[in-house]
Amino acid sequence: MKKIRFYLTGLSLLLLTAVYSCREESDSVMSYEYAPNDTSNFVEASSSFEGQFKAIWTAMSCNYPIWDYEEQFGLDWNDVYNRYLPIFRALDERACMSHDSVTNSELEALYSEILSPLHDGHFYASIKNLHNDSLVFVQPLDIRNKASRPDYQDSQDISSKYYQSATDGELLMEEFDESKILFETIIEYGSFKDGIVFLRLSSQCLTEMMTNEFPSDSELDSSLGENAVLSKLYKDAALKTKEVWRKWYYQIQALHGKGMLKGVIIDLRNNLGGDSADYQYVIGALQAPDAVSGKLNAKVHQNGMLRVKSGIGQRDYLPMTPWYFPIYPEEHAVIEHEPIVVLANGHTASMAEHLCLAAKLMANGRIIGTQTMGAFSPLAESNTNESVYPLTYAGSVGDKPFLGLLSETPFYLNIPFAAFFTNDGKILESIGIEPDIKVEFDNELYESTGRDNQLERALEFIRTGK
Amino acid sequence: MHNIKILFILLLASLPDIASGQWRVGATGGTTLNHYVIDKHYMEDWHYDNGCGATFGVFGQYDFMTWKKWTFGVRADLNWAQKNHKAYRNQLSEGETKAVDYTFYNNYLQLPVMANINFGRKLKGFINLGIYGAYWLTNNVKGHSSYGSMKSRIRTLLTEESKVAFDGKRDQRWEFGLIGGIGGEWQFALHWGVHLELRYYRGLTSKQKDYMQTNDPRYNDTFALQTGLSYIF
Repeated sequence: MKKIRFYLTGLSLLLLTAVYSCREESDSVMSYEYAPNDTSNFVEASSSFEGQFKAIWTAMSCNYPIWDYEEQFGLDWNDVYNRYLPIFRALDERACMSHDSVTNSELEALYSEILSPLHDGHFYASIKNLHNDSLVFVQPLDIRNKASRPDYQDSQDISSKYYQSATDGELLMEEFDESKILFETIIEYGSFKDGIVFLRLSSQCLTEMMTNEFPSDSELDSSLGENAVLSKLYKDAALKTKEVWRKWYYQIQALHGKGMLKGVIIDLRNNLGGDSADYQYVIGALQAPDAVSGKLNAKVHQNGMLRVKSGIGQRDYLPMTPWYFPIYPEEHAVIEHEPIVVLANGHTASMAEHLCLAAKLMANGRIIGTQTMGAFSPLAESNTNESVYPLTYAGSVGDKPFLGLLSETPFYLNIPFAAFFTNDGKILESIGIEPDIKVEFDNELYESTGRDNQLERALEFIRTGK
Repeated sequence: MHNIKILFILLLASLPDIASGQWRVGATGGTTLNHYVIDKHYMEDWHYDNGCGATFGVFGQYDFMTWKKWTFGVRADLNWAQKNHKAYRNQLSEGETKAVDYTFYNNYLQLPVMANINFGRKLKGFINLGIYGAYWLTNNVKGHSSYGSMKSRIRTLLTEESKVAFDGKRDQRWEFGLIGGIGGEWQFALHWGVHLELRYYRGLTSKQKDYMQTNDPRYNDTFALQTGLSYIF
């Protein structure tokens, strides 16, 4: 009997071991959380080009949000690993054997080859050349647009100065105001005599400026000392921005109340985006909130869907969910009959493109100008020396270089934390939004006279309906 | 060819024995508790909780040998079973108890084949040991997520149960594994019996295909507490 028990116990243990050993273990993957003064996660990537490539490859594999989309263009990221690992290994060997340093152009060429097929509009990589501690920069969208889009040109500052003193009454802005910081325009407001109201935003940073409670100058002086100068500059710009925005907003309310609003022009050319909450101060200030519950009107304000990641797998996607933008909470006029024209160009990107998309979904919205940049997927906040990775467990990896200066980590990858899809399931990365009325910017006219043919086309559309 | 002939003759010779054994058929139903086995890697505040579900099925059993109070048989089931799980995060922002909170409802069609050993007469105890194959029929999800920076949250919501499309490159819809069960049966009439069984399905194949350079398998561990009604011929 004892013998039988012994054999049975042995057999059970053997069976149990066999059952447990039948499952495969997963490979360990490093954390991409970057915390100031803690670069331990990037040690291997700091010691060799091979280690750096492996870390970049894995970081992309785990965090990049649209691998399924890239595969439609024939990109196999696993194949990239097998093809390029020996090349980076050879770089290390070459440097070790012959002390032949790797040049920036060599490194840039390699990473351009690897990364330029990617389509995400926000994505870029800053990679440290381990031999000379300088940075190599690769941005696939920029490479692609420069090569394939004749309308894509370097961003140029467009001013509406001509219209502030135009002799032609139809082109004269009767009211005008603006806010600047260090000569950079933040916001411009203008009103034409026939009830057309104009707003230009050069970047989307309104929410912070509109909602911040600023301390008094004396409080800033006492708390910050010499550093108070910049804070006061920002505070003054923010307060002025708030004032200019309110002029635009109340002019629309006033004209609409009197039945004299003819149309609204929102100039988002060269606006590279910003906070998604800014929606409420632009298109969201013209749309209707849900009158009953105060919740968002999903039919109008859902531009599309978001898909976030749920794991380290390239295809670990959670289901797509609607992405809602906030409507301005104060009771306001709903602009649903008067035309809303958004001016856009190849440097209209990110949040500014979402505003274009919102206008496109409105029956009275039109886009005039040229095709937008094509960068829709959202980025999490990513300030230098701030660890944001655990907020999403996806998105940007490494320490973001500031003003082109070296970062703490041997690379930085600017990756959205989610993928954006339109309501009909399309990805617009590197595609952008086609304007309803395509008008190339007449640079010659602008340089010689200060006239802006795209803005004038918007005025013409509002006035004639054509 | 010679071997096949011998095997065929042996099979024919064993038929009278099979015919002399005892058949039973029946239906089962119960509840499941699934544990999703996944390596979270560095995603420390992601949690995967067990999910409850249901199971229903039919079975056939052939008892081919009786020795004293012991009976040995072979049993095959065909059942539908849910292998659900929950995924959530809870350390994202103030005022939110769960920043990500999803329940996944996975429906499987399973075919377990087991050796059955039971002991007793009218009141029996039994164990089942065997293998199973399962096919992942559908995957639905319900829940919400809230993402983005602390200042500017992007909230997304799935209030209704939504279908999750299978990804042919990622999802391994066939699952194979081992099964073990223990239970008791009461034969309350000449041809009828009821039983209660606790089962454990151990998936040995990953729910995810090996599509990446990085190996990251995920498995199902499923318990089922089920009751059944048998007709004994």
